[in-house]
Amino acid sequence: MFKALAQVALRRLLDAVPTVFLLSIVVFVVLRALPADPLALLLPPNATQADAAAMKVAMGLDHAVPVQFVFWLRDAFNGDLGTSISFREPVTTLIANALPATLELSIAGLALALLISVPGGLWFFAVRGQRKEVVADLAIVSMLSIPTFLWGLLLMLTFGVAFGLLPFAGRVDSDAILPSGTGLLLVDYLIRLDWRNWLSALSHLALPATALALGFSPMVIRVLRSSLIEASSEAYVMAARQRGLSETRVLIAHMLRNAALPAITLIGAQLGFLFGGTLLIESIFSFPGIGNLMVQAVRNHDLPLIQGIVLVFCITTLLINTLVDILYVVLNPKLRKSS
Amino acid sequence: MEKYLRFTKREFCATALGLPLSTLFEGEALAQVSDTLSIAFPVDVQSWDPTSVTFPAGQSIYKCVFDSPMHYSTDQKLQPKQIKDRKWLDEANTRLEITLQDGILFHDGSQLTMEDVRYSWIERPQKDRRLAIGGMIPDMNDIQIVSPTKGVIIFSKPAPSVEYYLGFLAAYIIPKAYHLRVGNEGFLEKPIGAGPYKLVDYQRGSRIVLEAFDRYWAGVPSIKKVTFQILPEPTARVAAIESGRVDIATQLPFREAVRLSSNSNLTSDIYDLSEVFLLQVPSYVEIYKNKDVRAALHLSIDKQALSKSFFNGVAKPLSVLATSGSSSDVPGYNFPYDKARAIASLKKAGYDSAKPLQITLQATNGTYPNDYLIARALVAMWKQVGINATLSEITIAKYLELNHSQKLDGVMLYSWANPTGDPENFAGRILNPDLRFAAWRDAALAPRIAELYAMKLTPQRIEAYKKLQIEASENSWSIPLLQTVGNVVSKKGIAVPKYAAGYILPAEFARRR
Amino acid sequence: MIAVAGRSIGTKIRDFIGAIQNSPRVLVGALIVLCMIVCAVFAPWIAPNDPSIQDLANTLLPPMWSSVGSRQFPFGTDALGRCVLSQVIYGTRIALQVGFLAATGAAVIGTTLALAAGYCGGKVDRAIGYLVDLWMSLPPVVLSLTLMVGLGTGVGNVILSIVLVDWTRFCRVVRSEVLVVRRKDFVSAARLLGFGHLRIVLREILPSVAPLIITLFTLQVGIGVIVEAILSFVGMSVPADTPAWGMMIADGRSDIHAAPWVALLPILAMFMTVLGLNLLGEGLRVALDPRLRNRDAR
Repeated sequence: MFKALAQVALRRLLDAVPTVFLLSIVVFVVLRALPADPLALLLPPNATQADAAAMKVAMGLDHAVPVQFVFWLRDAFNGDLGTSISFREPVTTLIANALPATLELSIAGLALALLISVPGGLWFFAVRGQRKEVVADLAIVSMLSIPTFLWGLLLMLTFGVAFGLLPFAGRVDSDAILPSGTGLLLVDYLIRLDWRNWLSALSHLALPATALALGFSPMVIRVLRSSLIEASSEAYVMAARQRGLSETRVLIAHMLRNAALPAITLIGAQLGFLFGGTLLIESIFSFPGIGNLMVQAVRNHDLPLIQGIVLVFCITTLLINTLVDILYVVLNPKLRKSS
Repeated sequence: MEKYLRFTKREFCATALGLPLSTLFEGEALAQVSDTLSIAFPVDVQSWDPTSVTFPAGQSIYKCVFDSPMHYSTDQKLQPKQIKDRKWLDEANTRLEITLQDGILFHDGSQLTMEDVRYSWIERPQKDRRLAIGGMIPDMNDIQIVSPTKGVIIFSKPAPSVEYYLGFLAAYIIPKAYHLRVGNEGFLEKPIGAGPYKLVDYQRGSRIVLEAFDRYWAGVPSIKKVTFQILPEPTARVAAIESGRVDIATQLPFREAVRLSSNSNLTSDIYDLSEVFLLQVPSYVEIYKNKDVRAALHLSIDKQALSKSFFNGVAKPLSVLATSGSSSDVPGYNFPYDKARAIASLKKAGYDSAKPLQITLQATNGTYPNDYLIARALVAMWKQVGINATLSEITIAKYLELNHSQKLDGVMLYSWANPTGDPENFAGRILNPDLRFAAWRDAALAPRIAELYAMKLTPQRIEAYKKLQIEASENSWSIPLLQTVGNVVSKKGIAVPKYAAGYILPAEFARRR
Repeated sequence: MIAVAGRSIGTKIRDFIGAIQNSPRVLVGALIVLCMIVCAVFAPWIAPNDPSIQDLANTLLPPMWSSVGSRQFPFGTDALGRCVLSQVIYGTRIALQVGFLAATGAAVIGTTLALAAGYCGGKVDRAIGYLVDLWMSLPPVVLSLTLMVGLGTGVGNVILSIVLVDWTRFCRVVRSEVLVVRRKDFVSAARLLGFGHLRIVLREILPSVAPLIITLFTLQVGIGVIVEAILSFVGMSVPADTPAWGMMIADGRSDIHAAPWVALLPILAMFMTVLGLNLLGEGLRVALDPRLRNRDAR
């Protein structure tokens, strides 16, 4: 099995390299399609023509766009993604500080989504053919019609503002000190056994992660249901039923494991959707992750920062796709046997 | 009340998760009033080098960490702070002797001396012309160091009004030895100053955590820990103060500040700021060179309506570039609201319904109270006289960059802050073609403004400024709209001194039981 | 052979229409969508006021059934005194315009490439597949925002950026279907008869995948409406004086306590529109796929 895993991982990662490269080119070119003059934003007010020319050379703006791209790539390999125009800090620093927050939020959102989708999918499957199915169907379609950012707003307005139950800004209470470590607060506080702040971090994650989960779950529920329906007529399931196993046992032990496969494929394919959701959710909840950073960068036309964040999103998505592929191999009996 | 509620919820969670009882006692300690304070603030610092940016909105934070050479009191009087005494040594106002307080220490324990002043105001800006302090106090040539606490600032031109700027933007003293030792990058990462608070934690875009400096020369502040929660979204700030998660919130939307005044747990202070909402007009954009175009823009704005709709009439409409009640205000002068005249002006300039005037308007969204609302109302008002304005949203950082490098492409709605109350920092800078702050750069005005700069602080000087202001309005070189109204909402029990500059200075807060 | 092919399609269409008439989803969905289209087309006659007129003396007026409301503004006014109901009605124009045009563009590009990939196979398929994979390595929102920065704001650019992002969805799904149809008998039959490739693609394959495309198209319109709302929420869509639901929601947030109706009505409008489109799309999907129809009828 491990050979299959290694093969999948290696192939995926090798494929990823040209993908990242090509995507960077596309984004680079697109961003520079704007007629805006990046130089204007960087020169001092009493700059002379000579100053402007010198700055142009220093920034490499006197070269053609392809050459500029090569410079950017070379710097990127050395870990230098340029300096943000609006924050005046290195892009790598900004992203490194913000990335753990987004990762934590995405993982929490995904976990919650699974928590909602698996029982949801099972129930949706179980009510098929009954009158309740119409209600379930309508519920799912309605949920699908509410975009993630709207879930965020609704949750914030009800639980955050109207009922005042949960916080809806930032990652922790204002007087908490952020620990050093992984950057994932739930992990860092846990290691230190700092329960008060751990709970605070958890409660701050609650609303944004739920919003992400609610935006993501309906799709997963749907796929789970249809793949359960498919699995229920498979030969091995008939055999299990004939052996006298109860329907529930059949459901959970056999069908679920195999119905999970299409669901996992879907989750992997739609992870971009989950990630994209973090952009507005972080903005609405003032959550300091790269989604929030991207929204600010876009508002400020901060090209180096946008470029860097897009690169990071791309790499992260590809890494996660690789993980999903590996998971798929692990779970798929057919693929496992073939190795 | 809120803290008690938080305690109960935590207790519930703790017992539900089977956590040890010690967590309950921690919560108990929370329920008593701690001496930490959290403030919901609309902006983050642009840079931790306070001398490098002119950033009115962030001055409160700089004053916490770096203190200031001089200081405007709550009734706008210039008072000594780090500079104990000042004295002109010559009639021509080119040599100003300043004496520092004794025993000012930086956060690392080193003494603040004239060396640091010279480094911050002369050596650094002369090497790096991008630093804003070079533009704020333009004619500082050198500082003669007489003793560690006494020095003479030498100006290349007469500067009678310069002391106003020693309590204003970019005029801060940073530690020379530390800065040289860690380098600029190191300083921006871990800044230290001589202010009442040290920076202990900084999460860009998220929060600034300060701790009281126990060796602050004027005495340790009573509030030991302060957190500035950076919440650019006004709704987030409103929600934060209303739910009790922060103790103070500033620059809330006007209506929300009014609504919160009826909240029994909160005190809502709404007051005039020494700030003018105005339209910056770029003289280097062709279309605005036409006087009739500018006049049309100005005449078609109903300032009373803006004040009534968005500020319940509290904001005072302005006809000159000066705040109501300030020394150079001209109460008798009124620039009219006249749509018919506006249309006539447009016609003179060659525009009518067949060929409408097209302009762009830029405005911030959420930085100043009701800024984007005013911008959109202006677009509609201009539409009524046949001017098509395209509105685009802009951030303060971007505006400062564009303005300073003369790259604005349209009119900009801006709130011009002037805690000095002095007209030089209103019309004198708004219209000075030689400084980076002006959008209207008319070389013809240069000698006149230079003359005003050099005038001694006499009533004639004020009269001359009044004349300039009236002329500016008649020509619409810059279009004043309203006097900005600020607000601070705080939990009951915290006395927040109200500054016309809109400062929030935790070192001066007192807790009432 | 041709007769066989013709009947196959004709029967399909008849089945299709029959299924639609039996499906409540399609009927309800179509009704909602029709309402929205009517709003959009007849907005100047339906809306009580001009949405861009600001009445600064009457800001944040409550809906007309409240004691201080006015019949002139049935759903009250926003912070600039503009009629909320009129703005929502006119907002359907932008939403549907963006939705339909973007869906059309994405469908055209995606289908063309899918047909090429599915029918030609080999290198063409691999190249197009690679392009699709490349495009899908980025979260759609991130890509849209980046495109908007590069292209600039405005309705045209919003439509363009949605097309450039979502064509991949069409391509991927239609391609799988093309692969299935390609192996069908009537296609081989057409080839045996010596028909040219282009004719086969246009006359045989395209009509078979057409129902799928219609379904995807309907769903894509809903996605377009949502993406436009996201972009105008961030302020990167239409100019400030054009009524758009996303912007109304963003504005309504600051006055949510004093005037919740300003944000609630556009939220409701957006939800209903997308719901209608989703119901319609889902219903069509079930209606045209006999497997799904039978399965769901249990």
